[in-house]
Amino acid sequence: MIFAATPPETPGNTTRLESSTREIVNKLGDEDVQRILGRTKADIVNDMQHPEDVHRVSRSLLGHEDLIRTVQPEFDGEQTRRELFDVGSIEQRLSILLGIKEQEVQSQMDTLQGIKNLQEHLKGQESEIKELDPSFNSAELEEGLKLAIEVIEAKDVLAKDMKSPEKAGVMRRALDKLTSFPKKHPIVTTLLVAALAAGGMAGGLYLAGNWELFLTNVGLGKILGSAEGAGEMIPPTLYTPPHPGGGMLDMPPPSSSPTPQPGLGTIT
Amino acid sequence: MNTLYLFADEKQLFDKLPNELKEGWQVEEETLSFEDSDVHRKMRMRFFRIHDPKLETFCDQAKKADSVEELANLVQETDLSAVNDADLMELFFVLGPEPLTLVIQNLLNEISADSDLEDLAALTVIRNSLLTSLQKQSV
Repeated sequence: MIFAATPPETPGNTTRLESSTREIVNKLGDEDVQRILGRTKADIVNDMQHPEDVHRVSRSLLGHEDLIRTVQPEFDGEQTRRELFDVGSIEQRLSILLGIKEQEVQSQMDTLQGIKNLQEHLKGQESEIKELDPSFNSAELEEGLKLAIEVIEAKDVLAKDMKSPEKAGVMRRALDKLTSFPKKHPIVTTLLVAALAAGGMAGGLYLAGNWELFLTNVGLGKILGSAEGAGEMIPPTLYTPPHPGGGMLDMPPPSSSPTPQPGLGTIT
Repeated sequence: MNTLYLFADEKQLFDKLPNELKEGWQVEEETLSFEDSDVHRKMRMRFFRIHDPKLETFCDQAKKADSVEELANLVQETDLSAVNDADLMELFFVLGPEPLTLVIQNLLNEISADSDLEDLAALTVIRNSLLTSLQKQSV
């Protein structure tokens, strides 16, 4: 398969963090676990079934670094903080920061009210997070949530515009017209299906490193100016907050050199 | 549908068409704008929703593609006839107005019949709707 199941922003980090956290809990004595985590070691071990459970434990362990180093001398608090608070998709980061399941975050992200709840929740947790990680900055996440609200609102405007008395008939005819496009204007259909290919992978899948090559192969490189331009117009990956220091437009590395497929027709 | 929503530079191309082609068509200058960005496109994709079984099947097949070439073939074999309006607009929304503008500009250079203008009008109406929804969203 040419798709990878994990976003590129988190290669190996979560796994390292999880295995490290499990090791620490396993090596700590029963009394220490009870004191730090407020529950028996057996309960904690038993409960660490899902990544978010492990992340909650990782977070609770921060601040007890001297004790942790007695059982895991190589423990790096800074690395743990980075992996906990700075890496991953917006949903992954909010899940860790707010201590709620990623699925629940995804569900909340689907509605305006849910996103507003997440914004409030994040504000409420910020001071506590900063105690654990003084360098934590919520601005990027807040910006991501704000953008999510803007996009939902834009979709709402579009849906209303399509149904408005002034536009409904015209839109209907315009979209009807599209049904005759595949033969006459293959590029329009190809653009839409390429968008579908990109959007259809929004469940966490992405076209690893081959997106520009793919767009060139379907003949979009010509109309979009270049393979690079095509990649910019239809990005294959989900929104994720940027890497630390990467800036808002930080992108995964480009693919290998695309090879145009000859004879894919005229732009129509 | 006899109105074309064209940007000023596009209108200049339209104005150069023979009078017999332009007859019966009205041009409204497209004044809405949207500066798209990678961040915005990705977020639009985050909220991408389709319901048509045909499109869902396509997505399932796309995920199983073993090579770029296989996916490219799949895309080129897929047509969107009979896909419902809401799903089509989802696709246009993910795409955004910029690629449509490129298609519109290319079409304007190749107009030779009234049916070409009908196709063009359809695309400009859709672009106008996209711009209406996105105009305050520039990032």
